[in-house]
Amino acid sequence: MKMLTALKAEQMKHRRRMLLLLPAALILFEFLWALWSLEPRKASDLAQGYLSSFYLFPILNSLIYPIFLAVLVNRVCDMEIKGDTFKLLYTLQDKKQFYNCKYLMALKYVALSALGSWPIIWVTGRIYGFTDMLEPHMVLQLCLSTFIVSTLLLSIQQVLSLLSSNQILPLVAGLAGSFLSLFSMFFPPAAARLILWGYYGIFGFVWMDWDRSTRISTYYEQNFDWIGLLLFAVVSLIVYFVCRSIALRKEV
Amino acid sequence: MNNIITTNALTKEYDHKKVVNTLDLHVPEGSVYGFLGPNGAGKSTTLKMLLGLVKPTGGEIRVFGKKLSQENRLEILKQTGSLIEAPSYYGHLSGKENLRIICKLKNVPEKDIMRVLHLVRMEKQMDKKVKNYSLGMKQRLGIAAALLGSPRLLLLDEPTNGLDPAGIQEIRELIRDLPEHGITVLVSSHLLAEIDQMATDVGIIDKGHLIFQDSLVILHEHSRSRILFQTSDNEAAFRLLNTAGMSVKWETDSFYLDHVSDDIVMDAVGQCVNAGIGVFRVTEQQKSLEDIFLSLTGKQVSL
Amino acid sequence: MLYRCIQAENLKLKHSVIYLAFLVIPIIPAIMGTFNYMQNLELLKSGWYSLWTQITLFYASFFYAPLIGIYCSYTWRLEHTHNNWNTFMSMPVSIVSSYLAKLVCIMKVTVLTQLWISILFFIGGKMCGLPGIFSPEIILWLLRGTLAAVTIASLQLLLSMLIRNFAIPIGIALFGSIAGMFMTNADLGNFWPYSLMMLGMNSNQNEDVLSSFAGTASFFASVILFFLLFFGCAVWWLRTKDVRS
Repeated sequence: MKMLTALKAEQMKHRRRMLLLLPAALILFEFLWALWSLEPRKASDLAQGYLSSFYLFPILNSLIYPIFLAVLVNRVCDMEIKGDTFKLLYTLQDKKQFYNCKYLMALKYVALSALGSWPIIWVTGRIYGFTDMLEPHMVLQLCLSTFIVSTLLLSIQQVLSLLSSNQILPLVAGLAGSFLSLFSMFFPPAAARLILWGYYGIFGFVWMDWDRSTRISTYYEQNFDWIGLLLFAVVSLIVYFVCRSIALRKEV
Repeated sequence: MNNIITTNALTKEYDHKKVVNTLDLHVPEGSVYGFLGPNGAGKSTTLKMLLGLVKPTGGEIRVFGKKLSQENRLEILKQTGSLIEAPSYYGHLSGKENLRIICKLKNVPEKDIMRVLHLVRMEKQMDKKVKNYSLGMKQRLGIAAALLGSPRLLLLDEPTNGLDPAGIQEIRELIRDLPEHGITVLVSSHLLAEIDQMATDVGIIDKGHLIFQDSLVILHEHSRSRILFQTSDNEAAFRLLNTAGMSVKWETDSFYLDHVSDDIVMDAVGQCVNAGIGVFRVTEQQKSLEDIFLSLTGKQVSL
Repeated sequence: MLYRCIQAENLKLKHSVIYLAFLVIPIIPAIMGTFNYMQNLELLKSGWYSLWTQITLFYASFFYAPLIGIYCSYTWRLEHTHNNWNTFMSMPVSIVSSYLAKLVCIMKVTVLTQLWISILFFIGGKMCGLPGIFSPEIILWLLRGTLAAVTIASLQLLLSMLIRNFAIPIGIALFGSIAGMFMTNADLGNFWPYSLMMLGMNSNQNEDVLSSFAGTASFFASVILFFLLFFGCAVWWLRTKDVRS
């Protein structure tokens, strides 16, 4: 079967399952959070409104993405486990193709969600009237890093979901991931790099200084770690193949 | 005779479509009641209503003489065993552990497990995880679960699904013997032959309507025999007997006489021979149950 | 009858790895919280109370609900698959007992988790060299948190019964909890079930947020009313809706 046909078949399986609701819920949630947290209180906030958004989003993402990915992958993969369809599917299509299709299906929604932060930041800025510029390169850096970090976590979630007949393991992993990534922000940087889920935060490129005496937060941009992101993408690719071979080793 | 189940104008609508339409079931005590109908006729929905799993849109159900209601539900369920649609099971547990759960909920001593496992012949598989069972084994487990605690009433929805021929025979014999132990059985099927082999009473449902309900004996009266003729010249013989005033009926390439006495058969054979037509075979044929179904509904139904 | 139902539920949960999650997940906040406390000794000066907020803040505000959500989803998944709704609903036990049995099993896990987190809290405190034992006030908070936890569990159990997907109720739990943090900050915590745990555990500040009588009364009223609401919804739904499988 050609890949395109296989993808169409995959798409048909998801009819009436309203998968789009998941990224929609995520984006809406991010929006509400942004509205609440970016509300300017002083003039200095307005002048660095967009900048502070790019400080906020990596932190926000590292809290909600691990669980979001676990839920998304569960939604995509669990139908096969519940319906016991592996024995049918593996006679119809190449096992690798099956795995690729599932992955791409989930990836589509991840891409949507990652891109979604752009309009949110823009709209929030419009509502509050931020006075600084919404820098295109920052949008690119945020969306791209969110997307690339998610590709790796997606591999992990998918292999867990496909192997776990009761789906406890992938959800526990997602929850633990959210937990760890939240805490990893308090870790020494070297230790934080061991937590895969924490990379949403690690690829953050806006830092904050909080002056205790004046109670003013100052945001400033750091150089984006392009080489790190590239390395991460390579690792993600390797992890993809490793996870795929693990997932497909299971007998039906 | 007492009826163990009585329904009165039982109706269930889904999206303004009547799946079960003013059904009046009467299941006599001590019978094996065969509930017959094609796929999607409303059998499972009816059974689910009898158990209170699905709430009727209209009508009334009485089981053991009590009206099925929120108050009487437990009283009735206590004496009822059931297997609806496909067998229920927890895949990560063994067959025996699955039955222990039912024992707890039905408040039946656990020693009853060995009895029912023996009845369905699956003692050897009881410690295997159910997710590794074959379809037939899961079906047997479902029947075993329904039999736990020797209920007064057993509702079985297509119990021979997925069984091999030997298994089908075993389960049929098992069901046939149940009334001797004081168990009334309502068994649904889409196979006429199957109901014919184990039921004492029959209800036939089609598109939600009950189109026949009586004892199997009465159903068989509908299948009174006919005499099929095969001769050297069927057309000539048919014309001859027809002009002689006999009620012959043509069918594809031969003809038959419907439900006649021996004298008439003798007369017909005599007339043929006298007219120089050679008579090869005169055979008595039972009407098939498919034919009965056709004559009851007036339309072709694929069973 | 209820006891039999609970026994049956326990049998169903055999051979499942669910308890593992409850052992492992609380260890994360315990280690992190202790670590964080040690790093910030110059800021956190209230001893046991400071450590308490460090360990329980994220646990109570973000992670308890999804954690118990996994458990709720699992117990309902058993019924959602392999046609078990038919059997579940045609057993000669009352609907309230069947449902309550599931709830009791979840309460059991909740209580054990609370106990476990308090043990971890104690160990963490000793490792930081905190003197003596923590004050009895914290035990009161733990108990209050447990009550709130039961209310959240009853909500998750309802969601997992209605939504036949494993993960979505868990996602709802996380988003609900995060929203709960905002509600607490906006002083609306008593109107949002997911906020109750944080209020009960008093995990975001050193002074007791519920020190006033009115505060305590409205907290308990909220816990009880929400619990009754979710429980009532579940029983009503089971009584009136058709079984589909």
